[in-house]
Amino acid sequence: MKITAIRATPVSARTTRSNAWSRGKGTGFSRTVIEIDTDEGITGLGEAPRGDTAEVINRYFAPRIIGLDPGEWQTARLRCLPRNRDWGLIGDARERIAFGGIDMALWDIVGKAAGRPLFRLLGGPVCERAPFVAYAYSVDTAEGFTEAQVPAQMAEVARRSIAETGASVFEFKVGRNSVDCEIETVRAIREALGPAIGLSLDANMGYTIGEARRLIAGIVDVGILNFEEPVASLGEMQMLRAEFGVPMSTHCTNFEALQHYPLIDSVVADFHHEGGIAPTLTLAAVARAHHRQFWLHTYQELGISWAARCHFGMACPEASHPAQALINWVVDDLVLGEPWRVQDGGFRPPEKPGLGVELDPDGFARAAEAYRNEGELAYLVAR
Amino acid sequence: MKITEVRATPVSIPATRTCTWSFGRSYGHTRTIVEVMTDDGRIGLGEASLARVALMINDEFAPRLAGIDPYEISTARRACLREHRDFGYLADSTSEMAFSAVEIALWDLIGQDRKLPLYRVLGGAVRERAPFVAYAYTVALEEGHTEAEVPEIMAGIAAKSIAATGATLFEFKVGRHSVACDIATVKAIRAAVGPRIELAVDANMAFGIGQARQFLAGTADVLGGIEEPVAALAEMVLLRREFPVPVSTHCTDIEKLRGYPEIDDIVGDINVDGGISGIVRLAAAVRSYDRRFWLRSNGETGIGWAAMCHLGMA
Repeated sequence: MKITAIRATPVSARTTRSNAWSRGKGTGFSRTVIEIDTDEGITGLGEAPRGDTAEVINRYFAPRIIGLDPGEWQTARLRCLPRNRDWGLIGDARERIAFGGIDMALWDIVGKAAGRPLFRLLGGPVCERAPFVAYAYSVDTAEGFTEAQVPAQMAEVARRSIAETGASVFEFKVGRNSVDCEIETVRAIREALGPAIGLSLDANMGYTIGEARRLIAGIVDVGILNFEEPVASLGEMQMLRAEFGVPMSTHCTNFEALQHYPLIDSVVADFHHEGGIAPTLTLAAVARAHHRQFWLHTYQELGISWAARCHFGMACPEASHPAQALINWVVDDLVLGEPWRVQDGGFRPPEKPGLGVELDPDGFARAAEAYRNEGELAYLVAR
Repeated sequence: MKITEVRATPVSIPATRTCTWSFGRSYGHTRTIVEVMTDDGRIGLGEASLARVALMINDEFAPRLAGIDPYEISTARRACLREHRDFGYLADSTSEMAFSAVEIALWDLIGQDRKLPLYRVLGGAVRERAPFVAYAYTVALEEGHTEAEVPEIMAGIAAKSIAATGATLFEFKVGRHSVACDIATVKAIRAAVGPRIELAVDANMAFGIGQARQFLAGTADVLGGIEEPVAALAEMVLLRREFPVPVSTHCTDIEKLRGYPEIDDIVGDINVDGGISGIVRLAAAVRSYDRRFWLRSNGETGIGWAAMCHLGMA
């Protein structure tokens, strides 16, 4: 089987609510949808963050991998990410996420050709369903709320999210509002959810260490399962971990760097960023060899990336901690049928070959048109 | 595709020369060949590095594997090894070795089903060919040689092996003869193969630390690596600090190795370290700890050898 054509299409999607977090807010985001055709009539679907990733794929990567067997992800990777730029520190993150989308489509093709869902191709299920948290952005006070209303608002979001998803963990953004407001919010959420649900916070590095100390001191007694990126520095995260005993997670997947910060508990990786599914499976093994917990990051994806994340979670032995999930924040996931909603704390993909999703041609056309009309909907916008 | 039957057969095969090394002599190897049959008429081949796993595979693993799709390697692994015994330290290395043979056979079936050579299934080639050293056992004095003849005989073997294989590295066994003889042998081999071929030795833990010091003091200027000079990881660290010769070990327990950062290289074994998928993961973990990684050879038949060639490609 040979790759015959590659189409990367930028699309823009809408979120169900304003997604307010420490560094920005927005009501939409752009992604790139990738379709790879083969000489056997199988088309594979992939997805990458950002819309401008499409240009990297169409202009630079497509000519390099046409003619390759779709099973040879490693050969394709070497052609797209020459080794001198794919070693040690990340050379060009945009090229890497572009290749991550291609890699996903290649796995979809291999699964379709083998007549097996991706999670079976990756070794078979290691759990009943891929585990996910219930995840929420903060409240956008620009939508007419006062800070005083945020704790009650977020407590209600938490209660509803846990009821809908059956998740064992509620994870949410902090660092958007004042530290006092965030303390009240965490306490209100704990009150609403009771003691059995894990609470995880994500500040996206939005705090200074002084603010982070004040926040943690005000909530440590309610039990925090994990705090992701409270501050921008690994060294400061390590200090916070030592001072408060609250587990810390980072998106840093550079183990050269991480070995100097042994107190950081967990690594939250993204297979788009790692440039593919197989490298991320080995990364999970590496994380465990470094005594870190491992789970998957979410980027606010559409139905294709979401499907890949569900398959990954089914098959990755190290990913037993629930991964981040934002699929319920998307108005249209661009794939046919009902969205794959988290239930009973996770999702088990149907027994369909490959990723098991098909593009909805109408939704896809609308989203591509939205991108053409509005340009890139940046994930990072002004606060 | 479903597994219908699994058959494990111990085999013994003679060696072309006596395999003489620090701890003994042998004239061949005993291995276990595994055939995994499927409902669509395929047979996948695997191999393990000892005979006693055959019973385990036939009696315990085969019934648990029946009905499993060969693509589902982790499902097969959990069926055979049971999760509660497959975590942290190796609880039962025999069952791990037994499963590795099944695992190789499953990859063979996946490759057959996808009509791709295994290295392409594993992602495709990362190099032109899987790299190997030229490797040799030492001389059996029991076959009528004196120690004085060893350096010259080994130099001849080295020159011939390098010419035959085109390898850039000649690796051979030490620790069988006197330390003086081993030093003279290293020097003779260096003279025979010239300065451009790298030399590595493997003592299989036979030296005492005193002997190892004596050996390295006489050879450090021409050696590119030494494998398991002594039995203790801590003593390997001492040697590494004293001599500029990289040290390698077969210890693949990352928990343990963290305490010995001076040990340069990890030499894994497909049959010991979880089969092909286990090696892929181990290699990544080893690199993340700034060690080099390569594969060990253990007297395999063409099946185990094929698996090593595919892994080396990918």
